Amino acid sequence: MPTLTIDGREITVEPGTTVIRAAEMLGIHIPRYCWHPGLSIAGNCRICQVEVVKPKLRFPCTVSCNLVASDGMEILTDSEAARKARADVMEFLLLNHPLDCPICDQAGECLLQEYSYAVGRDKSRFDEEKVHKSKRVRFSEEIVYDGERCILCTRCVRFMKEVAGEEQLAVVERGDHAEIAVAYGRELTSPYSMNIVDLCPVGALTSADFRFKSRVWFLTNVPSTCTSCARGCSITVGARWEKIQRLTPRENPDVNRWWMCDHGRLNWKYVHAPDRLGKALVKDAGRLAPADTDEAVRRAHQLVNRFVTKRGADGLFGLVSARLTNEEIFLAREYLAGVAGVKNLDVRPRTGEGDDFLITADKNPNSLGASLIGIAPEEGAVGLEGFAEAVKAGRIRGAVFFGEDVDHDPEALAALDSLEFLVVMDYHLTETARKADVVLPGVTWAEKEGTITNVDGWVSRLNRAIRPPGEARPDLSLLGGLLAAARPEEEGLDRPEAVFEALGKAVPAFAGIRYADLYSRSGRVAVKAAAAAD
Amino acid sequence: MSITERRILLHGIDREDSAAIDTYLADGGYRALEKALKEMQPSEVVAEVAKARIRGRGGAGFEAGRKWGFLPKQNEKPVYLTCNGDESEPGTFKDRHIMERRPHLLLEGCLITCYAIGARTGYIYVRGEFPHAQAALEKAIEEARERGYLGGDILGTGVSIDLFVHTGAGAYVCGEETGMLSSIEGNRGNPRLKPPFPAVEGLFRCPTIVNNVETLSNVPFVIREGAEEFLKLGTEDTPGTRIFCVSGHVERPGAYEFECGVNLKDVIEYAGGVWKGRKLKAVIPGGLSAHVLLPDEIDVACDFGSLARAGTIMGSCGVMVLDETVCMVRALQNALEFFSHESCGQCTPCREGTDWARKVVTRIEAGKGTEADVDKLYEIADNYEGMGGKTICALADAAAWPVKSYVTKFREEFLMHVRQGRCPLGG
Amino acid sequence: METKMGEANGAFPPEHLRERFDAIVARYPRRTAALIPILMAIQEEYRHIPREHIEGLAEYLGCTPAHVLGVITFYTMLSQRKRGRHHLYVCKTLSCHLRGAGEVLRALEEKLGIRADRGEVTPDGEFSLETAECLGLCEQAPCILADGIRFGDVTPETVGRIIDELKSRGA
Repeated sequence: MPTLTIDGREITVEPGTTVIRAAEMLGIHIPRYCWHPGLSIAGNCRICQVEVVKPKLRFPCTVSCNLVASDGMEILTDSEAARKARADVMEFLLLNHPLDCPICDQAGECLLQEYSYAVGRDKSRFDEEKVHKSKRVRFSEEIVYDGERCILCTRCVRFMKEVAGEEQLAVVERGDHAEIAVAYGRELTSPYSMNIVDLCPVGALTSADFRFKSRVWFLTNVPSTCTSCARGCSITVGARWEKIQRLTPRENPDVNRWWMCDHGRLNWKYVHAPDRLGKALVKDAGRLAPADTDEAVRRAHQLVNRFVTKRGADGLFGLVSARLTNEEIFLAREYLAGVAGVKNLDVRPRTGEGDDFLITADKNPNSLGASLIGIAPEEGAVGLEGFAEAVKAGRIRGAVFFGEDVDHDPEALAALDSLEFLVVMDYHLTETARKADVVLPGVTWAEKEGTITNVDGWVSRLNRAIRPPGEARPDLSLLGGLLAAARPEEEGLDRPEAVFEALGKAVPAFAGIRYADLYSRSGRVAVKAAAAAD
Repeated sequence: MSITERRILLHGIDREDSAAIDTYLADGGYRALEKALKEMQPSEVVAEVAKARIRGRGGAGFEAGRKWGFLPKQNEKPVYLTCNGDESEPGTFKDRHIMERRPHLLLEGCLITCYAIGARTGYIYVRGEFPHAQAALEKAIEEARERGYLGGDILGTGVSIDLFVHTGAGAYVCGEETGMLSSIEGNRGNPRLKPPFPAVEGLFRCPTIVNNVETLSNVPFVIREGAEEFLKLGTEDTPGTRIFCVSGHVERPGAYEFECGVNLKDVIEYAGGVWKGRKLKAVIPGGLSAHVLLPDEIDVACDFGSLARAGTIMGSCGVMVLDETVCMVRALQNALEFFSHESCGQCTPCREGTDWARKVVTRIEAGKGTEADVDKLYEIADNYEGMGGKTICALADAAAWPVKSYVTKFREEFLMHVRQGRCPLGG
Repeated sequence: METKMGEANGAFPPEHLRERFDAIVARYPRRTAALIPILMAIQEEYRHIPREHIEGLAEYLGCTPAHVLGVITFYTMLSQRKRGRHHLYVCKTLSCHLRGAGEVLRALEEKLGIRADRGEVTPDGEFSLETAECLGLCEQAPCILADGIRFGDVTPETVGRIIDELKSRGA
């Protein structure tokens, strides 16, 4: 294993490691435009030049992205020669750049701004007419390209070819007239296309959805996890004015590396839909009317308790969403199975198209969690599939739906009318909820904290990025309220961390994972649940 | 001193039928191939070529035999030979002469080389602007195939080698060896990052040897006559002959083959000297990329080392002669139009720098420059010239040397444009 | 040379070129390697690369239309605009420049009434002009390459003869 010195600091690396990576291991950031750890090495931008003191080359500086570390190598990343080399590249990059930062979406997270701040000149020496290129080209509904801002680093071209799997972008023309293009009459069709917006180190590729929405430096960025499918890609939620502005993938070597799918990225509009529940609803004289939340929780428990006392738990059906967090599902089970003794427990499966990359066919983000925690009908008990039939047969007479609905199933929906009681917890007023006796106002993934378990068993954190509407409460708090009503003698359990700890004690698969380890902006954010590994 | 040509590569090219296989055979053609295949092991061929120290005639001067030696010893993949016939260095037309007039010489060189390096297939990359060379080679390949010198089981030895002509489509940068590989693979002609070098990972990601047309055309002589004979030609620094492509302001522009070490002044005289009885102003000795020489600098031996010591390059041996009427600012503008047009656009310094320099020199030429622009011009070139450190390939260097040498050696002429607000030569 | 097959339609490869293209493809271990030779053949056949062939060509060679477009726009001998029946490459690089390429180009532009830098074609579709970077015919400077024929030592006075000769050869 070669040992090299970078800026006077020694490091031993695996054979084949490049200098830019070795520097990263030492915490030394070498500027880069074309280089990206998830793409092949292009070596075209030339900003990552470093001075090679040893071995002596024909030239003082060269690019660190394609320089393989060798034993005894000596590198200076910030010497006069290295700084000069980078400053020269910066000058060249900005010659034809429009310098339209005031109206550029990338401003604030632009690597041109970043590195010219570090090494650039204070004055342009360019007295010529700039090259004019294509502006506002639609690469797809969602992606807009500006050829004049483009620095031709080809990250986007390489992403499409190497990661998305189809060369849908190409460099066209040559020399300083080169730009990026899609083929005639085509647009980007990959479900991962929007990653090129994040990859673009400058403002050449922007998201049509996010364009001109907010200056990035005003966004509150919260690390979280995408809930659009069972992959659970790590994301950053950019929020402002208590509204989500954008979702971007967050590096996670175990789950999604640097990427996420476009669907997940754009699937947040419902969080701000007008049908969100901002208040609890309780049926009064056949009509749902707003109620105090605590009062509604008590009322819900009363309904359950009375039913079970009168008829026993066999006539009760519990539907627990696999979109809820591990903690919520755990408390839901504690309440339904533990307190009420319900055996008829199930999740509502959601499936769709999956692929061999990130998108899973399972559209529930926490199916594995739900299954590990034990949300499934016991032997001989009623599941969602037999629900409508069981209601018709009079076997099921009461139901509790946590974060779930049966709006997709007209038969099940109709069956709800025959129930003696129905309690629903949800974040919006579904058709199912309209038929409930009590509706508890839950929240979406963006408004709460907790963990979910992805298809491969990686447990990742959700974090609250925005305030929920009105009096809506994190579902965990509502579930904790139900449990407290059932077990007034016990200490309340509604803090995610405490519930996760209890979960770890109750369900072996979660044992050994520390909740506090899961929150992290860098490095490994997911811990594999032991039981899911096999 | 009067000099004489030593025609080895251009042997018999004045004959109408110089390209025909029978002409070639009558002159001992394909005997070297037969000798190699029947009497020598591939490693012996490599050793003989290495001993002859044939320096790369494309312009870089790297020894062919040493290059062949970089092929991996352990290798499961096919090995390819690619012959670089993308002759596009301005002022160069030697490879065209070989391909059109002596195609079988090149084929024989390619075949021997394929045998030596273990290649079953070779591609001869010919620039798109050379339809005649392509046709001549295609015809020669057919002839050689018919006579059993090419294809399956060559001369009953069991050795099979196919050669194909691959056409370019107009891009100087495909003359860079890895740009050429990109082009053969059906890509934009972008030069590739090195390492890996082609000998390790080249065409179709397989070990590949890239040699210039003239380089490979020397191989048959070396094998037939032996390296010792080859070493008797030329100089210690650069053994063998080279084809000098003399163009510009001489009486008789043309391709002339001399032993290396010939005096540049004599070469120009051989081509009839400066035309119209005018005075010499400058000589570009090794293709447009080369640093310009002043009249008092051309008493120099033409081999790689001597020309390097003279501050320029032997390069492609494209000798461009400029008479006293030439405006050097306009000449530089012309050169930069070429280089900026031919930059593939990958690397920032070359893509942006060459065109910036072009714009500045255009302004100076138009009399709209400042004295600071003249210095800036030099600095721009200095900032994109990096001997391979600043850019993936040497095109940026090629575009920097004219700038730096013209601005330095003809600085007064550049300043006159600024001061007079026009070309002092009335150009 | 151009055939009377004339205009391109979408089917690829066009029937009369299939055999030729298949033979080119067979020279390489990967189909995409045939791209540039085939594009050159299409250019010769149709005087440009018809847009409607890009998709078919990509499919034929197993690459993407974007890739094909990237390649077409890289090489100067491939054109997306239809050229004249006789296309003249007029070399402008230093050796030709030194011996009067500029005057030759101006004479041609005047004679044909079209501009090289605008990629113009004569109204009858007969001629188009393009300046070329070094054609490698420097010993015959200034030089022109047209319809695969080389013209050397051209002067403003002889450009008329070149045009006549190209015309007389037909298309």
